[in-house]
Amino acid sequence: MAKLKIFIDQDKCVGAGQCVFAAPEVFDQREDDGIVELLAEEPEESQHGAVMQAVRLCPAKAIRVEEA
Amino acid sequence: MTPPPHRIAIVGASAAGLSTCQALRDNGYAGEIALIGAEPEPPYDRPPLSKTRSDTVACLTDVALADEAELGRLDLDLRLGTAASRLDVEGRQVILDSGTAIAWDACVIATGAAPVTLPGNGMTLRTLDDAARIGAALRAARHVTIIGAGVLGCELAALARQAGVAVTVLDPQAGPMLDRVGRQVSKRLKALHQGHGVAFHFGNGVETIQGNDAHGYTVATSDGTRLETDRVLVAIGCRPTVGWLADSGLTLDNGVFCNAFCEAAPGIYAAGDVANWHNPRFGRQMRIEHRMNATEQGMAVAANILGARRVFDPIPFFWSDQYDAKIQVHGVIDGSCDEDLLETNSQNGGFVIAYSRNGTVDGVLGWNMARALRKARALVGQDRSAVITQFART
Ligand SMILES: Cc1cc2nc3c(=O)[nH]c(=O)nc-3n(C[C@H](O)[C@H](O)[C@H](O)COP(=O)(O)OP(=O)(O)OC[C@H]3O[C@@H](n4cnc5c(N)ncnc54)[C@H](O)[C@@H]3O)c2cc1C
Ligand code: SF4
Repeated sequence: MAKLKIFIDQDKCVGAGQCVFAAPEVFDQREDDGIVELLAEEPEESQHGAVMQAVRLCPAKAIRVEEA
Repeated sequence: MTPPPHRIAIVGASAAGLSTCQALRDNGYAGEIALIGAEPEPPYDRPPLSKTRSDTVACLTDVALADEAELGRLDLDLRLGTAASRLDVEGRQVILDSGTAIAWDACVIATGAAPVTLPGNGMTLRTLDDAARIGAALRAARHVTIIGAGVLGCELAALARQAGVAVTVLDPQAGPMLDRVGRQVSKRLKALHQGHGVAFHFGNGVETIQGNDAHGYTVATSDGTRLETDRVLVAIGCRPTVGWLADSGLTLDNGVFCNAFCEAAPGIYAAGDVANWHNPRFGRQMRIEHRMNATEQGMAVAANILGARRVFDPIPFFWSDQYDAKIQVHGVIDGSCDEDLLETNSQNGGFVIAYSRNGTVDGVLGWNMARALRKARALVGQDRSAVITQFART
């Protein structure tokens, strides 16, 4: 499978944390305001399913992926 | 066993309808999907329409839920600007207002909810058009009156203050969002808004709204107060959009009445604001008007159409942004719950509160505590006294 590259839009993010529930090894939230942070920009293949789940679940549509 | 569906009709082209389409394709469904939407725009997101972050009125490109590439991937029979006028349950078809009939072997009702209105010229906010109208009103007005201090009313108040417009908020309850978040948070919200110059008028219902844009409006309340104002915004809640289902034979009771599989009748499902389904995690029927639920319920419905037969038992989630306050809730809470303060952050004034019913934690609320709240979600469903003991120790 192709590589995935993740893009996050911190202005859109509402700090819902759904991405962290879905893929805790790829996403985290900033301590002070809960805005999304990337732990891995190009996650391992084993994480791809979880990342796609996060993309779908994010209520602010703040996560986008491209095949790198 | 019924054969797997190959023609699926989805009525309502917003968050829940689109999520259903995406999940159907993600799960490998290759048959037909008709997506029918009354609004002319392709699916777009509503929460940004009332958030203070956008000082300009949102336009479609900012809030679109799917770009052209994604809509292409979904390979839809997309019918926008057309409402469904009738669901023929026996004949397995949905009739559009144009008279066209669309046959289906599985149907999803995702027609959402529409604002309750009041007689007079009060503006409501649900659609992009509404947002444009309200944006124009905020530019033209020096003073607006907002009727309803619920979540939307509070966000509108913040939006108006951010635009430099004077604001009065009226509500028959005793405080903002009181029935949604309880006394402690309502008190904090009241102080927050007053600190930003919002005037509140609590405890009285609105009797009449009179006037027009050119000469201004007079709002009269049940205690005899008469308020002069430039524009009136009405945010007194929504009702599920079920009028078109009146003769369908489906049970309509606070939305489309569904079982735990989000099924209203064999082959007919509902998702999003319109669905009143049985959430087994909480052991009761619920209808949730939250953005997150629209996505998750759409996914659940797609899986069940394709035969997964899974109950939908989420911990609902919602958020509201007002000024610099980010309020987030996991679970199902209201003003009648027991409230326990679990954590505070002395640096930013943030806190986490647990809300319990009959000794069980039903929800947790965070105020500027996004990260701590994410962990606190695990408390939902736990014994209240055990949770209190656990937090007293830390
Ligand atoms: C201004 C605003 C701010 C919000 N902010 C938040 C927030 O901060 N956090 C949060 O959790 N939630 C928020 N919400 C709620 C959230 O947007 C809704 O829960 C979500 O939009 C529900 O999606 P839905 O698809 O179920 O219904 P809807 O978005 O209501 O969409 C239903 C669609 O169906 C169409 N339709 C209706 N009848 C027919 C018919 N007969 N035929 C064809 N189409 C039809 C409608 O035109 C509409 O496009 C907000 C809502 C609004 C309006
Ligand atoms: S799910 Fe979306 S909104 Fe929530 S923290 Fe992650 S990126 Fe932000």
